[in-house]
Amino acid sequence: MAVIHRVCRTFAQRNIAMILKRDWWKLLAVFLVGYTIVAGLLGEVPRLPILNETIRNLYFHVTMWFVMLLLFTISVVSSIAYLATEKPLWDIRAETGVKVGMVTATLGIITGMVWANFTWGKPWVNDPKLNGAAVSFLGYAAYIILRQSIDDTEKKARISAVYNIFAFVMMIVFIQVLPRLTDSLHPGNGGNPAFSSYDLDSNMRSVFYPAVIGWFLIGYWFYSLQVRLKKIKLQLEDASWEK
Amino acid sequence: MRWNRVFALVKKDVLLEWRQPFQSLSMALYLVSTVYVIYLVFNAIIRPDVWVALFWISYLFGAMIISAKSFQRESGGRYFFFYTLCSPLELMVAKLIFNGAIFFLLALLNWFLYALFLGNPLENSGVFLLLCFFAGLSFSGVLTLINGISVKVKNHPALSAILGFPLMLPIIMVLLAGSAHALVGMPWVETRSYVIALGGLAVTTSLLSVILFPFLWKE
Repeated sequence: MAVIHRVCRTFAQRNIAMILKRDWWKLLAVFLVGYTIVAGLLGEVPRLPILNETIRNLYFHVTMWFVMLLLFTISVVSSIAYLATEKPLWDIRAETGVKVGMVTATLGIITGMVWANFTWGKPWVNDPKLNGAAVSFLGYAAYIILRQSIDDTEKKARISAVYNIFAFVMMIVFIQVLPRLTDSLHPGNGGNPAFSSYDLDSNMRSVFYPAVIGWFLIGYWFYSLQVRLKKIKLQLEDASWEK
Repeated sequence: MRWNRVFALVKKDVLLEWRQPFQSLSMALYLVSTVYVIYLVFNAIIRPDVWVALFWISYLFGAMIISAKSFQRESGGRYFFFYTLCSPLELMVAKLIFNGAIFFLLALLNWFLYALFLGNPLENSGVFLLLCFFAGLSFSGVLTLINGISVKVKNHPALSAILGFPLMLPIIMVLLAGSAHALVGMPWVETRSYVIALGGLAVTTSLLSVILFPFLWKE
């Protein structure tokens, strides 16, 4: 009881108008993702052979990859900024972008495998898009290993920034350029119908676009929490050095 | 960047390689042993497509091993000597040229050994030669930078493999698809896109290495 009382009092003490002004996008994120889950699972979808109800995976699987790409892009931009300015804050941003991006990549792979199990009959097939996903996953896992094998903070930041930029460019080559050279089973490649042609009645569009924005905001929220946590840790470390 | 310095650095690497041939000979021996093991295991069940797959796998590992000593002579105390002598840009361009040539020779040696032990199933050798050439350039683009990284991170022998494989997979995929065309002797119009893609990869990786290496080099 005492805990609840204290939480209520702190909440009342803070200016709610201020919270709404500063953190409105978090409320929006919760609302949009809530809407995605409800409307995505209950809403009307086109009845297509083979795909059937699995088409709803669009709201969860595709959006996860979008969030991953967003976070990896934030990360690579931060790495470039780190190499240009050598400020430790940029390194924190780059590292967090990769780590949170890896979480969404894992979710994207799992949702994709569940979908593939129903539509293609097995969870993994040899396909350029899937290979691209696997390779970017391995590359960024290697980035995390690389970070852990260097002790010196500044050296770690510089070397991992170099690798991050290289890995990002190769990932873009692999998932955007190479699938165009060969045929792919994946929707949107090699004559397979993509999202726009499934979507005959625009019903799915009204869920998909809010879903993208909602998951983007949730991903960014996770990311900013992690960045703030690491920033505090860095400041505490600096403070303990000064003592 | 001054090209005469770049060529001096390349010449230095070639001369050192020439005067201490045991290193390059050991690489050649490594390749011969690998191919002989493959011959013993696969000679009864070899098919043209398996030939191509094995060719690029043994080439991948050979290149990995050879590139491990890219920056061996520039590390430790001699690092400071080179630091005062030339700019990182010049050093990287020299290393890229040298490694590219070495990797191309490696591919040719690999091809010779495969032809010797397992036969040569290729219909269109010219395209395959072109693929070997660009494979050398793009492998040199990736592996030279990766070894620049792993020289800075000491005591981790598996690191260059962990870092390098994900970056080399796009190249391997294009090589496999292109070699499949060379295998059945497809016309040039069909194969052209793979050679162009590979050339694009070689340019991309080399440019990235050249741009990023100066940041690794300063300490």
